[in-house]
Amino acid sequence: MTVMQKNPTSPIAHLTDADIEQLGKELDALRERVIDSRGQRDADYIRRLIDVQRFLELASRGVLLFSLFPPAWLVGTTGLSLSKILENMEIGHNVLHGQWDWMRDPAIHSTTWEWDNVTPADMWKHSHNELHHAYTNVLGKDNDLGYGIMRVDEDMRWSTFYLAQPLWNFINMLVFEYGIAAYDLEIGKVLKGRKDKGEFWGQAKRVLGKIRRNVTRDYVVHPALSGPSALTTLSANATANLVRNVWTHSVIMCGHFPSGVQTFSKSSIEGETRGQWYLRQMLGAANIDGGPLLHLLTGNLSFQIEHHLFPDLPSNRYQEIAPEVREIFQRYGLVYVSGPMAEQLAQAWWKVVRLSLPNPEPTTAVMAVGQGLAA
Amino acid sequence: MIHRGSISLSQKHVKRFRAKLAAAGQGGSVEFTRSGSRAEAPGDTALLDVGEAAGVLMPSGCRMGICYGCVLPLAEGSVRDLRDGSVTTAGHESPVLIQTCINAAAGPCSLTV
Repeated sequence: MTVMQKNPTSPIAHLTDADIEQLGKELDALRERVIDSRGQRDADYIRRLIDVQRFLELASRGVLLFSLFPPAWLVGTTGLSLSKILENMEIGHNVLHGQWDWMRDPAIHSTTWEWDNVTPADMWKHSHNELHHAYTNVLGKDNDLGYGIMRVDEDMRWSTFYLAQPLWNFINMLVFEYGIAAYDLEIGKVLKGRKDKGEFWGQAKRVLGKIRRNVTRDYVVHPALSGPSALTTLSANATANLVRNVWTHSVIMCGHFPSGVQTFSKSSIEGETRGQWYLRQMLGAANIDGGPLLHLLTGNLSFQIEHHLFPDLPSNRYQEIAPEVREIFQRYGLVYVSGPMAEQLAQAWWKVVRLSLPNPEPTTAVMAVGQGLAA
Repeated sequence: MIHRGSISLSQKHVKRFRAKLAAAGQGGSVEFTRSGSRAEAPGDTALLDVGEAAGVLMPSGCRMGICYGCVLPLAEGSVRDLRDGSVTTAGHESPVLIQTCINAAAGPCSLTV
């Protein structure tokens, strides 16, 4: 895919400026309705979820004290993997998005929450909430397009570095928790002299502090407490971290890399209106089909489109508004990109493989720039 | 602990759209308690802009209400959400955390910054 602006058949060619503004109003109204209806059942949801996750982690670590016994290892590792996934995805990601700030609970608030991830919450909020969500899929602005190590669009310039990008992606997947931290440190910017070195070293120290804490807990203290099961507890923790890394990486790849998701040129967002911002979010994300368990384990990022439209609405509401959002897509003649996880993931990986090679030579003259978002 | 987001160095490249007016309300005088600054805030201007114009170091992020990078405690007074007109009021001795990029003063108020 190239940027939408270069697509000879623009997916928004049929929409007038007035249509797009009307779209914005409809989505604003939908958002208001959800906000007005937030209440006890939502608060109960997140509090119960946090309780369940904490219990699951404690119980799993308890079981793993006896990890020398294979059934204990299996049960404990499974439980621990699930608890780490829940903590990162459905709880951490969503709390840090401010989805639960409305409760005014200082313990469950985007300004105070620190998650079980080596990247500090505030650093992640900067790259994710501020940059990725505002500049979603804009080439040259949204670094989630490749994370600085991959080429994921025909309009990203190719270099020999990208030949190995399937390998970079695979490695990143295995150590994703650290990959995110490295990404949030904006190492590339520092090397190019575009970020203050003092700020960088301050952040790096904090990342190292979190790494030390997690490594000590998972690979020193917990194994030590397991006595004869020390080595198997260590392997259990390593496995749980790996499972969490692979799962979260895969879910995230499905968010913006499957076929049919649009990218946008930098110039196209100048003077962007609210309606146009909504439209870019609609076209720049993809959902995953599945049942309630999938939705829970993906942190409701199976509703990536709904999340991108309304990043600060409580995640338990995305499933409820999805039918209405789909209907809006249909009425405005837009494609709602969604599919089963295996399909979406395969498409995402294929993109990584295909774009590791340079674009094939064009056989026709370059087409004129198609209809952009900002006319 | 509130993180101080980075200041946008190139204000002219600031985000595309700003919050549209739901209904223009009265403004008010805003006190920035830690820096000791004061400013008269119109009812249609985001407190983030008011603070920056007054020379206060304000945390900021996307400047469009989605990233929660500009959240500060409202120690006193009321603010109005520029997007939908909803009003948030600080309780006595219980400050409420608000996003400064989409809220305007709705009467006299003070921000802890």
